[in-house]
This record gives sequence, structure tokens and C-alpha cells, in this order.
Amino acid sequence: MNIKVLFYFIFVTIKKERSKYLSLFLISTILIFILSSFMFVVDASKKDINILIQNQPSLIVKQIKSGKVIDIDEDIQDQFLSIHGVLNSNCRVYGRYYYEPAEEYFNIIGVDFFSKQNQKYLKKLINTIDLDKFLAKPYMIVGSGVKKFLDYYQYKGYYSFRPSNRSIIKLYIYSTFQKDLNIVSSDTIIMDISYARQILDIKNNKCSDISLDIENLTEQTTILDKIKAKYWDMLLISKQDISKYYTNFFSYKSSLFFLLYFLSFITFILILYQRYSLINSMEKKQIAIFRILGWSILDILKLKIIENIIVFFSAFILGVNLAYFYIFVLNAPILQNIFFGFLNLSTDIHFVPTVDMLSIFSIFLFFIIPLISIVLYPIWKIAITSPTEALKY
Amino acid sequence: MITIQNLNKLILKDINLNIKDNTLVVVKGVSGSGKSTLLSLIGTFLKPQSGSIKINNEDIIKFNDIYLARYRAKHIGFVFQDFNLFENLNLYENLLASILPLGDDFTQADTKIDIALKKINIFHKKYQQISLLSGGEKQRVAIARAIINNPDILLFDEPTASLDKKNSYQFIDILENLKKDGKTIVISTHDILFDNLSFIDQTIGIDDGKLIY
Repeated sequence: MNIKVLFYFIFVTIKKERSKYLSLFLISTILIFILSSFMFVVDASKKDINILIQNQPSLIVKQIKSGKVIDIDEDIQDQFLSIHGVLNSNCRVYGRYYYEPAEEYFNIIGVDFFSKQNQKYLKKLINTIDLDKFLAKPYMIVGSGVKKFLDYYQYKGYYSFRPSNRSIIKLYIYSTFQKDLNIVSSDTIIMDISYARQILDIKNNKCSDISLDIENLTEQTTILDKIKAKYWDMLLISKQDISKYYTNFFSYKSSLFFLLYFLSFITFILILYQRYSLINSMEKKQIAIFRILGWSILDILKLKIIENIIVFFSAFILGVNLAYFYIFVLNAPILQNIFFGFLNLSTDIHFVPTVDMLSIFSIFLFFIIPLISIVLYPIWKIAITSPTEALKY
Repeated sequence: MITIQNLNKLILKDINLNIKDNTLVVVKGVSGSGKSTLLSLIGTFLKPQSGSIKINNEDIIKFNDIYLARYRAKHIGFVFQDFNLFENLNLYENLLASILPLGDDFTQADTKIDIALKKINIFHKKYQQISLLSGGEKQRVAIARAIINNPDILLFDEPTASLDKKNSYQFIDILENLKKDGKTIVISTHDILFDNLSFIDQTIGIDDGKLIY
């Protein structure tokens, strides 16, 4: 067959039978859009979570008393530093602050701007601010979610915190976090450690926890065992534990989503199979005429494969592009609530465009190939029957 | 030369028949006698249960699907009682469907289509959609489609059954011209119009699946 003439003929038949193909095209586009959106969110989130995990200290130590986490003595960090292999230790002051107007929580992080920071995003953040200006006035740096809430409740450029001693601490907004830090920072407020202590009621010689950096990660287990042996009332959280938490969390969300998607895809496949199994008399006649005109079974399958590839591939291209626009331009309204409902505030997440070609290829493979197979099987069954039989319908 | 030996299929029983090149054969019989089955077997799109069909000494039953399909496209043209055209396509696109299996490019295809449409005198409706044509015009398109690849054998199944008298006579004229072009033509019919045509070479009677004359 001459390929140019064949393609011309295929485009003519698609155009003439557009109503038949339109429903297939629309349903395919929707399914590919959903699957691609899901893939894009997962890929972008994984990238952000990886950044978050990389930024975490090797080990976090928390004080336990009567089964509850309580503030830890600041002095103990010097004892940790004496353990061989521990590079540095940091007293961290942070906690959740209840924001009454919205009935939501903010995450407050107190930073000692004159100490060495062991969290990369804090280092990065401090580099972007003019410390003299920042410390000259009671300033704070807020996540985009916090900013949105404060603006909504008319706190233009400031917020008055109410610590437990019934005083008021008024902090002004210095800046908002960079968008690529949004997943970790949307509900976060960063302020000088002294304000954080007052707002969260953490005494001067106490910390929320102590973070440790370990020189050689292969020694982590040994160091962990040493701390456990010496301090039985400490809770130890490693970077791997945090990584596992997020991985499990996303696996759970992804599995649920994939299950729902899989069910809808199977339904579509069944509808499609039923539609082609009950192929109408017109289509049977069409195939029979092709056979009588000298088309082999292979020619007919070739025609139908190309026809369906054109329809499904167009749907694939449109679906993937719509998903890209939905996730990376519109920032995935609705879908981000499914994935990021664990954050305190309804966030203003900005997904950094991340397209994994393997994911795109997987969508193509797991969508188009089953669909074409399901369409072709009934056509093949008709093509192998005698044309005279098919013409009788 | 079409040679059929000891052929059995459905109602047809032990058929033996020779059809010489450039002859016009009329197969007569009542509905359900097996005329259409015989035409489908000669047309190579129905396989016999037993017996052989040879066209120009080639046993077509032994051909594989791809070879048989190409053979059909090149050597056999078929016109149905109800034409079996693609109603939603135009004349040009319908004829293109016949040309595709032979792998012609656009230039060759356009030339073939123009020649076939002019020969059957329907060139002026080249881009007309089939569903908008009259019965007589549809039959002419079906004939144009059958002759487009210049086949040796033309098969007509009840060609005048869907036509009025005027169109039936026009069809007879077309048939005579095709015979003059050297085609081997087999027509299955029970129309009395074919009883006294001078250019008919052979008439075969079929009843209950058996040749009776």
C-alpha cells in the first residue's frame, strides 16, 4: 500500500466519521489528563521531598518524659558533640502556633542568626536577607500560605502573636519564602529565636529538639546506638526515618489515586470492548467491502491500527499538555488538596515543572497499547469471517 | 479461463463448470438456488468445502490471504445488487479504496479514477457523496469501482434488481462495452431482460444448488 494514499484515506474516513471518533477521543483525553496530572504531581512532589530530606540533619534528638515529647536541655548538645563522629549539633526552637481567626496552625521556627545553620534551606534563606535590617526591627519571614491567611484576615504586613503570658508580640513581615520552598514552608514562619521562645513558651536553656550532623553516614547506626545506650529517655529520628515517612505517605496517596484511576480505566476498556464486540452492521459491512475490494486481513488491521493511533495519540498529546498546564501553570487546584492535605494551611503550592520522560512513556505504553488491542480484537474477528457472511447483517 | 471442479459449498453440490476468457455467462435461477454463492466462490472471497477453482490454471484455494487479496484486487471486479458502496464517502474516495491494495501513488490513482469514471459516464460527479446519488448512478459508481484496476473477470450479482427499466437498459449498454473490452463476465440474475441478449455467450441454469443446464 502506498503510505501517502493510505494516510489520505484514513484522514478522510476519520473526518467523515468524526462523531464516532469524537467520544473515543474525549474519554481518552480525560483519562490521559488524569493519569498525567497524577504523574506530574508525584514527580514534582518527589523532587521537592528529596530537597526537603536533603536539607534535614542526619539525626534529630527529642526528650521524652512520661511518654510525651518535652523541651530538651540546651546543654546536652555539648555532650552529643563529644561523641566521636558527630560533626555539629544545633538547638532547634520551633513549634505549632494556633491561629484563631482561621482555626489553623502555623509552624514557627526560631533561628539563631549568629549560629552556624545545619539546614541548607535556612542557610540559603539567611543568605538572601539583610541581617542588620532584619534584626533591627521585630521581623519575620512567612510562607506563602501564611501570607495568604494574614492578608485575608486584614493583617497587612504584620501579625500580633499572643504568648501564654498574655502579652502581645507584634512581628512585621520581612519577606515571603521563595516559591520552590513552598511545600515545606507554606505554613511556616521564621523569626529570631528569642521571639520564637517567647511565643512558644520555650525557656532560654531549652530547645524543641537537637539536630546532629554526622560526618560519615555509615557510622550513623553506631552513633545512634551510643546515644540510645546513654540516654534512654531520648527519641531519635534519622534522616532515613523522615524519608520513609514521606515515601510511605506518598505511596499511600499514590496507591489510592492509582486504584481509582485503574478502576475508571478498566471501565473504559470494558465499554470500549463492548462497543467493538457489538460492532454495528455498518462497520461489519465496511470491513466486508474492504475484503471484497482486495484488502487482506493485515491491510484492514493496518488501517484500523493507524486510525486508532491517530485518535489515541492526539488524545495523548492533548491530555499530557492539558495536565502540564493544570499542574504547572494552574498549580493543580483540587488535586493539591488530595496530595498536600497534610499541611496545616490550605497552601499556595507552586509545582516546579518536572517532566520525567519515563513517566510519559509509561502512560503511553499502559494506555494506548491496551486500548488499541481491545479495539483491534473484534475487528480482527470480523475480518477473518467470510465477507458474504458479514454483508448479510 | 475459469475452471470449477467437483465444487461443494453450502447449497452448491458437485459443481463442474468451465468459463472461457472474454465470454459473458449468465447464471439463472430462483432466489436461494445458489447463484450468489457461486459468484462469491469465483470472486475468491468464499472458500469451498471441497473441489477446486482454477483461474488461468492457478488454484486460488491454495493462495494465502495476502496473495489472494492482491489477486482479487488485480483480477476480479465485483458489483453487488445493492452496490455496497461507502455511503459517507464521495466517488473519488470510494474508488480510492479499490486502488489502495495495489499500492498506486496519487498520480496513478487519479489517472485510473478519471478513466473509470469517464468510461462509465459519471465523471461529472467525481466529488459527490454517494448517499446523494440515484440508484442508477450508484450502480455506475459500483461498476467504475469494479473496473478501476482493469480486471480480467467481472462478476455481477443481480445487477438490475434495484434498477428501473431505463437504468436497466443503460446497464445493458455498459455490459456490452465491457464485453467488447475483452472482459470475462459472469452475471447472476433471474431478470428476463437477459433472456434474448445477442452478446451472451453462455447461460447456466441453477436450481437447489445443482446445475440444470
